[in-house]
Amino acid sequence: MAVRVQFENSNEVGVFAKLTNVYCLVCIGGSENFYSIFESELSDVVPVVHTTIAGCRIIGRMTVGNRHGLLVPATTDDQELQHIRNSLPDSVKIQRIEERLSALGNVITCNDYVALVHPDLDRETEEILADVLKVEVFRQTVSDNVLVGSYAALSNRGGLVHPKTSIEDQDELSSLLQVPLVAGTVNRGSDVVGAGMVVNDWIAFTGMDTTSTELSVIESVFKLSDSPQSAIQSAMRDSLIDSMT
Amino acid sequence: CPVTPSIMAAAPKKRAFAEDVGEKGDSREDEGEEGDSGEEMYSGSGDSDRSDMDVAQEVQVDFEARTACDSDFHGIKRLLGQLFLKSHVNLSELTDIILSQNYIGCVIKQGEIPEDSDSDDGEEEIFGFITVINITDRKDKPCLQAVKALVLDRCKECAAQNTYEEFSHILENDRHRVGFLMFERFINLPTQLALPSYESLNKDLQQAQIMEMQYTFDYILMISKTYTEIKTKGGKKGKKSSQPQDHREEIHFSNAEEEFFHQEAQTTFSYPVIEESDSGFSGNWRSDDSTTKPFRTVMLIPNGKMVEIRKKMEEYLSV
Repeated sequence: MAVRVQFENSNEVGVFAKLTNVYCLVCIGGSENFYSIFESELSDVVPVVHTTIAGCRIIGRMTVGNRHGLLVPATTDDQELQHIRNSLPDSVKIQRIEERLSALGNVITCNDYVALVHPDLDRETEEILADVLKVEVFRQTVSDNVLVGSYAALSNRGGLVHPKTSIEDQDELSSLLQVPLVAGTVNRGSDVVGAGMVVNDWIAFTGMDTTSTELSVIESVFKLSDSPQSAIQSAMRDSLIDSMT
Repeated sequence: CPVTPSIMAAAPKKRAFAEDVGEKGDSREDEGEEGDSGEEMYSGSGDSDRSDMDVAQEVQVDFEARTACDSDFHGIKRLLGQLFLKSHVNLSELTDIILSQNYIGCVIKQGEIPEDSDSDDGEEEIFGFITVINITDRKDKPCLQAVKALVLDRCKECAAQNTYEEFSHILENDRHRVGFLMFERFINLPTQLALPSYESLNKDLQQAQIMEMQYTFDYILMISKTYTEIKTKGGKKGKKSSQPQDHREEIHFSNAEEEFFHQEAQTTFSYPVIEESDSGFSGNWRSDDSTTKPFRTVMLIPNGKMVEIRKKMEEYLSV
């Protein structure tokens, strides 16, 4: 299911949180409403870790991770790193990496199997990604945007990309990533979909401004809805809707 | 020079302000601009220092006032965010209210650039907006209740008891119609924009008053962005942010024309927002600048005083 949430009047959930299938990182905020919503949805299933990265609250944009591991930038404090290590399950490998493009969440997007990275990412970082996160790495752009982490939101079951992504780009990415993709918006028309939401295999969090249309698109591409989809959405869809370009 | 990146052709022409184009409506003639109803042309320019040797050069930019439309949602919301920071006011709802009454006030956008270098896909940046919301009649809206609660809570914390009583009496009592005036703009936009904007707002209000009563107000409520300077020379430190603003300390207004409102206000108080701002201090752009502490100054101005304020604005701000 998809939940609407807000961090201190900001709708950019993907900036202040990082969500995977085995853990969730949330930044330290003035009022704890944000944190408590994540807790109430997730705490029985995965640990919700309260942290900052390099003293900054934009942890969603600084880090990248999946069920196998978490990568943090070189500016992360030792204390923060220790706290994260203590709080995450042992199966999650944490690594601090030196990378010129230090906002890892903006330049890398990944699920448990594949990762898309900024074309200029260091070779070394790519290797560490493949090693720690156990993913296959592809250097690609999302509709000519190099900040793949900002313009694409990815889970194991689907992906949401920048609204101006052409059908050819979507097909290409979809075949690389092996998940269905849809081009759409979040937070009432914002095209920065990677920063506007977080998602894993069973839940997504988006900003308060997200319209119900956007939410239904998100629920359908990431396969989050509790109810089985009616025939009109699956089997009959092709005969009812012609392709619109 | 922190002005918008798009620069008009180099010849610095002095354009006349606010060409009065009569009533805003579907039947008005546009000046060659398509699709926008209700436009006036403003021109902003900085100081008259034209020396090429000077690092801070002057940039000529044209601004336009347009009626707010749905695509301006995010721009208006962002500007409201800089006023309300982290308070619990639902800015989306407030923005929707502003858009629903878009015949009052306007949004400020950049004028049309003849050579469209980067074609904006219909989404233009909003540099400011001005409007008045009737918070007495619309008190069923949660965001306006939140605004009222914010003002009264801060007043209780940071102001004298009689100030609180006065605010409470005026805001809670339905017999006084209170209009919440908002003129938000990016911080470096010149004050010259203020006079035409307020004149335009006035015209809109007069027109609306002919139709509906809810646009005549007894009081105007205004929340201004203000700051005090911390004198770094001589080792004097500014006051601790937890203490309320002392009236003796000089308040500077981010929107300079709001000082006139302050002078004519019936009651005012200020509350610190240093914890809510992203950076602890601002200022220090140049070595001789002092650092500043941000505040919000809340003012209640009786409607009768608006004439005085307008006179002062005309006196000081006319080109």
